[in-house]
Amino acid sequence: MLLSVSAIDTYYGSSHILQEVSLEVSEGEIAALLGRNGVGKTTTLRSILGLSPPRRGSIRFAGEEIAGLPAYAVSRKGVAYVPDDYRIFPDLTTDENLEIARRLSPRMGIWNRERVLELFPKLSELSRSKGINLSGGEKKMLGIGRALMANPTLILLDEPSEGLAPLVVANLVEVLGQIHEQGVTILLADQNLKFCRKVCGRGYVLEKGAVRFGGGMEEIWGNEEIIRKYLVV
Amino acid sequence: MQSIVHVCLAGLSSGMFIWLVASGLTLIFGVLGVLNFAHGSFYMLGAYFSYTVLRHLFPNFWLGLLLGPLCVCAVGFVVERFFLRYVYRLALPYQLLLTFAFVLIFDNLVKIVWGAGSLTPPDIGFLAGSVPILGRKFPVYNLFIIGVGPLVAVALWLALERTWAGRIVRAASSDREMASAIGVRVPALYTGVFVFGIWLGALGGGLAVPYVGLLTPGMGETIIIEAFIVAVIGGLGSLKGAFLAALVLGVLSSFGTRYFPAFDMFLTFILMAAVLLVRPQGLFGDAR
Ligand SMILES: Nc1ncnc2c1ncn2[C@@H]1O[C@H](COP(=O)(O)OP(=O)(O)O)[C@@H](O)[C@H]1O
Ligand SMILES: [Mg+2]
Repeated sequence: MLLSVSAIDTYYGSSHILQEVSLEVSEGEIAALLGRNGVGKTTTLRSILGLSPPRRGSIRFAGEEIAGLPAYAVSRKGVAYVPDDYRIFPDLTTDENLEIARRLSPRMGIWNRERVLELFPKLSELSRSKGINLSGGEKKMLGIGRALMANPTLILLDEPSEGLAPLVVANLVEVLGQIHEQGVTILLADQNLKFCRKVCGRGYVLEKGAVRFGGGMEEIWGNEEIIRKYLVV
Repeated sequence: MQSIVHVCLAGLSSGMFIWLVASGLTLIFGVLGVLNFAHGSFYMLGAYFSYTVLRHLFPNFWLGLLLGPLCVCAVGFVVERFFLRYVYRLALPYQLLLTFAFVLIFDNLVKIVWGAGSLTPPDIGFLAGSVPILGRKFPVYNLFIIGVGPLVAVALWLALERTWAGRIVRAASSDREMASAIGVRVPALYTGVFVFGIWLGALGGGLAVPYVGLLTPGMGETIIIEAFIVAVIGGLGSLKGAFLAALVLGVLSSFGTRYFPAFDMFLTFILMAAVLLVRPQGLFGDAR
């Protein structure tokens, strides 16, 4: 297992958000965190990275315990994060947003500026634009590109399909497939079951901060009760 | 005409000291989000340490300017690492209380170590004398100061805009959490930026030794108020704004001292009030 999260409990102040969440992601797969708004998908990703450290439980990444490590240390071990609001550095240009991630990563690998631009040709026209001037879609591409620049083993991807037109989602499916082919493992959180079915092999269904179901995407897709209870709005 | 030029030049040179203190103050606020009320005390310490180097170790201007502020950086390191770090998460009043406590501590430490009276800097003959400008003498050293200020401004701008260390600082100042998510050791970066900001203030103090004539234990207090005003007028966190505001304030208060001595600081406050009425976020502040 590349990532094993065992029974983590995460709080925001005194509100108990994640309740004994456990999940596993094996090397090379794309796994999904499913569930409606507010069930704790983002909090799970933030807990893994160390931005919202769990109070109890264990998180093992590549054989090492990472629960309790600060985010920068987890990041240097090879975990990259693409937040749902992208968090592109507003004051840096597109190129700088990419390059800064490469420089801060101690890891070498196949990802560099050229490869990222091959994946997202649109970004090459924007190389000197400041982050603050990019559109939402452009920021999303840059967010994924910035994550790749660190040559991570695992990418935590929050709400990748949110707010995208169907054509753009199709393109995103394509892009994630290409990233996956390069051996990058992805754990993504998304509410769009159709999208997840196209991209992911397995999924975990969350509700009220707890995992209600874990299994293959086809299994989830075919289980009307789970869909009705936990997924459709 | 002649006296107007001289008043302007005098104002520019005193404005540069305000700029040096305000630059560190602004940088620290922009990145760490802390209003360092003790910044003037680091200016004072810079002056006293440089004085000691010049009087007791090496009577060489450049060595004084190098070693004095370096000692102050060590003090700044201790302040950030063991005290300030613990109040970042707390509300502004706690930060002000802590930094104000350091104002009192440093004032008293200076009195204990160097005495409560004023000290006369040793005559090291660096850029002594004057040059005639429009037929009236102007100190060479003050011209030197007028050159140093913009030099520091340009160097600072280049460092922040054109180096990777600068880009990382800008990234962390706009989004601390995302910076740590891509591998920035934010606590260490904060220590570094704080110590660097302290160095800027202490450099101002070191440069002030041949300029002020007398060192006094309260010398940090006047300048911190001016630096605060400059930082606010310029827009908290904006170095460009702080630089311009320091020049304007320096020249304005130089005119005030010369022509309306009774209203010296009054003019400064009028300026601040006027700017804030028109642009509450300051000249170059973003309206966050
Ligand atoms: N910073 C925060 N402080 C307090 N509560 C929060 C915070 N962020 C999220 N929450 C709460 O935690 C729960 C889970 O949120 P989140 O992980 O963002 O869900 P999801 O990503 O599945 O939509 C929600 O009830 C939300 O209101
Ligand atoms: Mg979310």
